[in-house]
Amino acid sequence: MKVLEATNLKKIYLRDLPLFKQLFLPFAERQKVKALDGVSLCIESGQILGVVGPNGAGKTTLLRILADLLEPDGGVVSICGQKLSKKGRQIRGRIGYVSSDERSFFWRLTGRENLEFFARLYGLSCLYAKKRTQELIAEFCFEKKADQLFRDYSAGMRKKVSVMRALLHQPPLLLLDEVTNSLDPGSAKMVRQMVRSYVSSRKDCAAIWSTHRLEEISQICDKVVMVDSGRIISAFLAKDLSRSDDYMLKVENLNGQIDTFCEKTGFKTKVRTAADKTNEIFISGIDSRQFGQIVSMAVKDFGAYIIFAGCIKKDPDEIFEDLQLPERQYGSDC
Amino acid sequence: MEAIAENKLVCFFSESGKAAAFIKKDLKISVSYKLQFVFQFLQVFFGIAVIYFIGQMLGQAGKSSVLKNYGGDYFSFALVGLAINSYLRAGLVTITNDIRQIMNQGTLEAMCATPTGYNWLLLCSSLWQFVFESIRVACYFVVAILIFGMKLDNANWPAALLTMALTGPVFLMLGVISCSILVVVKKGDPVNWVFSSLGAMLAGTMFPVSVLPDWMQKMAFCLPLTHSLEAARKSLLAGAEIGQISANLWALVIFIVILTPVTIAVNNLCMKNAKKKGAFSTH
Repeated sequence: MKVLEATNLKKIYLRDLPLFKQLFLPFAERQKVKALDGVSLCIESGQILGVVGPNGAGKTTLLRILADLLEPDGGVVSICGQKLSKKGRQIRGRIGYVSSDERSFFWRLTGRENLEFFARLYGLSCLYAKKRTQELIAEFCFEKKADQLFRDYSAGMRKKVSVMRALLHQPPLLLLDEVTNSLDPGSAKMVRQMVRSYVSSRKDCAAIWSTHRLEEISQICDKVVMVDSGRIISAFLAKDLSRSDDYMLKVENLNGQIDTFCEKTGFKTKVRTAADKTNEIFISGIDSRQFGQIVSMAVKDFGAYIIFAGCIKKDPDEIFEDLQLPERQYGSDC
Repeated sequence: MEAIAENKLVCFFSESGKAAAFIKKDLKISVSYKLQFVFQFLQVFFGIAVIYFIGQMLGQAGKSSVLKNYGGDYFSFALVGLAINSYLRAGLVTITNDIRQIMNQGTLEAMCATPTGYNWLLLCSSLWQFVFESIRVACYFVVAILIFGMKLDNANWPAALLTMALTGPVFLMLGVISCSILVVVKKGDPVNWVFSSLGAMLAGTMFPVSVLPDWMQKMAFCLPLTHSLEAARKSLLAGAEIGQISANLWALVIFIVILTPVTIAVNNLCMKNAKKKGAFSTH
């Protein structure tokens, strides 16, 4: 079942006029900035979709549109089969949204009081609001801190309360924006596990996880979209990330045959000639077994002398560069 | 049919539960500012004392013919003005300040992400201030009677209560309009200025409207505060019957009738605009 389907989402912001124009030409045309430009995606129940991209790529805009906090200039969003533009208020009850800003609480109330208040806004009865709040506090091991004032919380604790708030009404769709940013590694792992188990254990439930942390993507997400300049520039399975490290082969005696060798590998290769005149061949998109076969081929078929053979860990930027595929509608195969 | 009725009943209890949650939350926050909480009540005493001494200074001059319709005593006259005006200020100034604060923190956006109507959100955000201000207004009278010897022997309480019952919704709706505009413009809300600052002068908070020039009196007639003050003073200080203040009461009813759709329309328009701009949390 499709929990979320978004088609051709567009959002344009108008830049403020420069001071001179604000004063003397207040009605002058303002510069348009495309925040989202034809984004389409869909998520089936049980899936977690990772949204990655550089700052200002449009990730938060996308999530705020899906949370019904921002109106798109074009496109349609359907959640659990209902159009957001028509039944926004009702659908908001099916969304749990964690914004990247963890200040969005009442600072002079305790964490528990805040959660109970928001539970009432999500339509929970007074008794059930208390019960559900207590359940979440226990699940997040937050008993000792729950009755402290929100203003005394650290950034990480505030973030935990934000996640608890999103889970209060047990929504079928979770939208999590930079959720582990201010969490320590242990807490971040706990939140990831919570979200994974929440999505897996419930029927018809899915999540969108927006992050900069590449290692999170492979740990928690099923599918990933990369957003840049308001467009989905790449869509791939999260497991592809674990195959995205390069293997390097440093060889001698391949002069003259290097192009033939690269062609015979059957994979994407990059060749660099090192200062000592040896050849460094970088091979992408293979696993260790395939790399073993290539090494064997180099020795047996080409008589190459192997100086080094091994895996080269790439930094996130390099991995994303490799994964930038031509744009396609994500979800057509979901 | 039964299912629909049951659904509506559940919806009603859910929405009134949200209102109760707002009042409880705002009460806790108010009490947490202990010093301010105490000062707000102390301010009642000092506000009354200032008026009392102005009344003493005016002496017989204060019992001029322009005050004859209101019992003839400046102290009582101004006190009712002060009390009702503080009620209006609660609706416009205090609530808009609160909304601005939660907007800056991003809390308004978090509330807008819940399945609660935007109208209801802003209305509920205003409720506690009205409850609190009602208590303060009661304090004004208690302190004035017990300490400053104010006489309310002639008061027609049913008429006064009816006046307050009609005044409350008008000010509440002005508060919602003001907050709705604030969400879009962030600062410099015109409704607040017209009804709070200008209104305090034109509506005759500290003096009768009859001393104003004719053109100002005509402007004053268009303000709900003028009618609330007139009806409250006449009923509390001169013992006027409901029939005698019916013109003012009808004016308040007309304000309610006009403001109800206007409030909904302005709120919808402003929230739509804010949603378009993504302005629920920006400042």
